[in-house]
Amino acid sequence: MAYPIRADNGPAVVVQDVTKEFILPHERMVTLKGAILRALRGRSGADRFVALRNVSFEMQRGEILGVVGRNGSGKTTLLSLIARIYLPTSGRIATQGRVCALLGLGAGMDPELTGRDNIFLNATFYGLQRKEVLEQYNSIAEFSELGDFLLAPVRTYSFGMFQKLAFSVAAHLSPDVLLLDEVLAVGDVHFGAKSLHKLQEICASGTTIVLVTHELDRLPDICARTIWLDCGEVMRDGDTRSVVQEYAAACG
Amino acid sequence: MNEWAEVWRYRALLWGLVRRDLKVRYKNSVLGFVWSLLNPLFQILVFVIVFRYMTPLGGRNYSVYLFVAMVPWMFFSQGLLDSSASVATQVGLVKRVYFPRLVLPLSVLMSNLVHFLLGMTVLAAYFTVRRVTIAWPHLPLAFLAFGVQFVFMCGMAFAVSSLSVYYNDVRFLLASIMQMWMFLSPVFYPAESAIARLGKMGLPDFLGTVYLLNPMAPVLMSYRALLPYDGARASTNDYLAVLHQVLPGFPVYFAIAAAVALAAFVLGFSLFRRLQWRFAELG
Repeated sequence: MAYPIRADNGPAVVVQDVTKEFILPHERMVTLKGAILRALRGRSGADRFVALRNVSFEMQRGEILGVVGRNGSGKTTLLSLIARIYLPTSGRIATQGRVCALLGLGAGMDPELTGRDNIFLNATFYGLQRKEVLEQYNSIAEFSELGDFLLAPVRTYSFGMFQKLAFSVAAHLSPDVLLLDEVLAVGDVHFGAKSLHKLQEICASGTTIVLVTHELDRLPDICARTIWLDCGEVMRDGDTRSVVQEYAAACG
Repeated sequence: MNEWAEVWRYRALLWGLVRRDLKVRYKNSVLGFVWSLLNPLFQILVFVIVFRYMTPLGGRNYSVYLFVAMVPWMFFSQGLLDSSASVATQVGLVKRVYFPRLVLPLSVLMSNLVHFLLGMTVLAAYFTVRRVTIAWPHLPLAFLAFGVQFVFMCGMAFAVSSLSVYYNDVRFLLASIMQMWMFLSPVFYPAESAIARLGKMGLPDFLGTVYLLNPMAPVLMSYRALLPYDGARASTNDYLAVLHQVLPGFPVYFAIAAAVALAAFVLGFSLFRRLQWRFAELG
């Protein structure tokens, strides 16, 4: 499968006429018996749900793109498609370099392992090599402010500590394309401010970023361009201030 | 072959998952890692007592004969049972991060491989204690058998791990199949005597052929070739030489097992590759 397609000097992200349909099974746990019965009755046993319809846009390297829309408008589906978690039903998606999707923090972390082991496990889930994690380790550990707790199993952590650890790893992945789903600030006031500052640093570093958020007030300070999705279709694509205004007006 | 390049790029993850599995498995237990040695030992002890003392089966050195087939068999059956759940239990993760999905069954197989190697170490120690003379010239055959077994396991693991995301039944079915498969493979008894018995009972000859078409049969016989043969009336204690007399077709069956393993690998892999894109959409 020639996917993703790499073009070395072109745009960092190309989303071309992408449609994504999901098949919704009637029962959550599909069993073999159910499948056989349905086949005998001649019913497909599935409804289709179009999460994204003919979505197209391009992003230049270093561009930051905001994505707004109501719940269920397809924002997370869009990020998952760019991250290759799903294949598009039709259309084409191409990305350049390493893509990291932060759809929630701490993916793959194991409560039984120490903070240190989890830093390695979590970072390698995002495609880092062991050597790259080793290079970043001190800086991750320092950023997390967890000190000696890094040698304790993560199950002993408070929720705040877990978030600090997870964010610290996420902030040091240094991908070429970063996909963020509502992970702007974590932890207490102090760490929240620090994490926000770190994100601004990443934004300024020339990383290509797609940012899904509901915090409309902050958006114009972070990105110049925003897409408004509604029911899987692009309603507006343009200057953040005006798109956010229109979206806010539509929501009432 | 794009997928394998991806797996190689994520080798740090593969290794990390194997380490995680080995670390977490025996958390909060005093003996920890020792359990992965004690469990098979207990199991073998039970089988030795049952077969040696409660049935007419099991001649001299029965424990050694059982051990040499039991350790690879437990690798086969436990590896497949564990890997059948490897993707289904991680669907939440699959929805959140991209990584080559093949890493999931592969990491489970590899942590089972570590336990297998530990078991083989215990086996070697047991051989030394019992002063068993090992047929060293047959070592390459045992390695070859291991290769066939591992390739076969990979193919089976790819198939069952991807199918059980769709149908949980696969996992329950597999547990029953493994039980039957064990008794239909030469784990507790020598294959050649089982085939001879089939003949004596007046059953058609092709049953013996069917028996040997099970890839695990030639594989387990090859591991057993490491041991001296001490069956009654045998003129030699070279197990392969005995096989050559009573079962001249053995090399052919071994080749068939290798071909079946390779076919299972190709089919299992292409099934996994076709199904993997929908893992995140299920569950």
